[in-house]
Amino acid sequence: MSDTNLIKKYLRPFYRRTSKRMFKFLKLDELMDMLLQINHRAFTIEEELQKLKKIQAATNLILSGQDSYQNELYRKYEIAPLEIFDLSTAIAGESKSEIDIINFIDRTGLDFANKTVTIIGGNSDLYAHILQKKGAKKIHRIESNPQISKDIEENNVSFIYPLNLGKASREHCDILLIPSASWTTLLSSRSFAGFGSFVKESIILQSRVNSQTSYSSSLEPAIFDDDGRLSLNDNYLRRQLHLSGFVEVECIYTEGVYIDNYFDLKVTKFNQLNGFTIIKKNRRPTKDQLLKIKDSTEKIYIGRKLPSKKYLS
Amino acid sequence: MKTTFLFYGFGAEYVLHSLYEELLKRGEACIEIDALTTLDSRRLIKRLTAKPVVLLTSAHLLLDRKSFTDFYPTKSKFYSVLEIISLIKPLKTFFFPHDLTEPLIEYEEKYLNQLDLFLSPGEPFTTIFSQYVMTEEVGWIKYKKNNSRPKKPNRSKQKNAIWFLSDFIIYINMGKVAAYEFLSPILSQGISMKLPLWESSEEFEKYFIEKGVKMYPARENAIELIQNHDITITNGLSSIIAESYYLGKTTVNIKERSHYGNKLSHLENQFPDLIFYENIVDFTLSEVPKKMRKPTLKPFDMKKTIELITKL
Repeated sequence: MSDTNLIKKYLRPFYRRTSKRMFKFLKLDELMDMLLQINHRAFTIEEELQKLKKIQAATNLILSGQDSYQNELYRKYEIAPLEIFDLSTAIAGESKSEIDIINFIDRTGLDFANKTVTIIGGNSDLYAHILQKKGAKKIHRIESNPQISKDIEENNVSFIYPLNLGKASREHCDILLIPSASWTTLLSSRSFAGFGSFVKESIILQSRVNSQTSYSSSLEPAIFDDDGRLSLNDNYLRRQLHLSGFVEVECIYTEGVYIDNYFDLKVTKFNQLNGFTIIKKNRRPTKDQLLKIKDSTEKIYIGRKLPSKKYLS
Repeated sequence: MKTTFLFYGFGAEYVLHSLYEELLKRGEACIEIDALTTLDSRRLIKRLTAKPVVLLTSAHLLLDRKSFTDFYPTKSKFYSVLEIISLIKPLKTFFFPHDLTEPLIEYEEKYLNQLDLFLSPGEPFTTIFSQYVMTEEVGWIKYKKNNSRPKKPNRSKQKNAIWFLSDFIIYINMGKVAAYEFLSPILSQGISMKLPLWESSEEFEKYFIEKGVKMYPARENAIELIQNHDITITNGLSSIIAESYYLGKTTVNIKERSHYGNKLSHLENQFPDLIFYENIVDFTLSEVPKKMRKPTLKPFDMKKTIELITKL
């Protein structure tokens, strides 16, 4: 037998068997897979980093007033609108028609006579004027100040950078009014800047919520609507209100297309051991094909410090 | 119409009886409701609607029937403090904490502004809660002036210790025989014991006495007992920890089978000299160091309290 044949017959199978065992023993395949995965993740992180840098740059431009959220560029990044829209809106100040402002106060149905009221946002003196006409004893307004480092106090109006509100000194009041959906979005994830402990009777707020969440909704904070804005889930907003010291929460009015106010009947109640429970349910929704998961609408919520007499346990 | 003083609380968490008795002596119209022993306290409360009422309570503000019965089934029908305020709109509402270690539990702080006065046992609570509600310091309601004089200090080398057993429900479920076996490594060291006032406490007391343990009746005043012992043993979270600590006594906490929720670090920070033992078998009385501090707990000022609550 020649040398070549000898190798073919004995050495090659031995080599194959040994190398196979060696590969198995050293787990080379698994290590290779892991290396590939690490490599892939490094790429993903790099991509995310680039995206975040762009968002940061966009945010800087918006906050410095050199650009606005309306720029189509920012809508291309899914994460970019996260709070930027609301922060820039709160800073720039939302403008509402006088009729809308009057309707907002009327729809709450509350008695403001002899009450102390704090208004956060709204960007209009008309709220205070209406409340004064309704007999409010004392009104304090808080509006946004684009400068982080400097708070201004002027004629019973405090100008504070929105995200610094939790650090500012708070006054006790009977009713807290947040008529701007953007302020609500910013404050709801920040425990309403600790105002819950300082409100004696109720909080009234306007909030941008998912149209369909009046029937069932997640405790997850938000979805994005078709315009790329944050739109809160009904249950999330309720939980935030309950955890901020409001034992009973109800939605009192809905605005927007395809919404039937008839369905806004849901009232929730809080206790510290079981969280919050629904004590009054909404009616079954009609199957409206026009209502999309990404439709958002503005609703008025009332959180009460004490349970209403009709909902005692 | 004469003002009615409504005293309201839940079982062992009701600590206002002495105040109720004092106001009765002064000829005031008073109603005392222990929501757990009164079968239908709602009926009594509804009768007070539209009458001038001053509410005095030591109950948790948010504890309503639904949340209570989910954990401790009871046939009693009752309202939470917030529901009572909503229903009868009292002229004034006064709150006394029933637990010195944790005067308010989670979320309660946010409802403090529903009260007119928080009667504080002392600092740091007087200052902390004054951000949300008016506070007045009146001392600790379980610490009576007449028991502020302890017996002569124990000068013998032998330390005397008492265990105020908490988390009693665990031992009830265990049964008295198994409970004694479990607790005996400490009780066999000549340590006396006081149980919380509970349905089964008398039965346990009898059995433990048979086994040679010196038992103090569950109704006995805890402050007096703390004062008359060198070392206070506790387990889990209880007001006794703070009471003993602020009375300047060496305070021990047994962790075995204890429930702290997420409050263990809070306990460690609030009471840095508290001595922890992981297991019952680790405890040896002779090895427990004596850590005497100046007592800071103030006795209850009945006169000041009466003045505050009758000043309308």
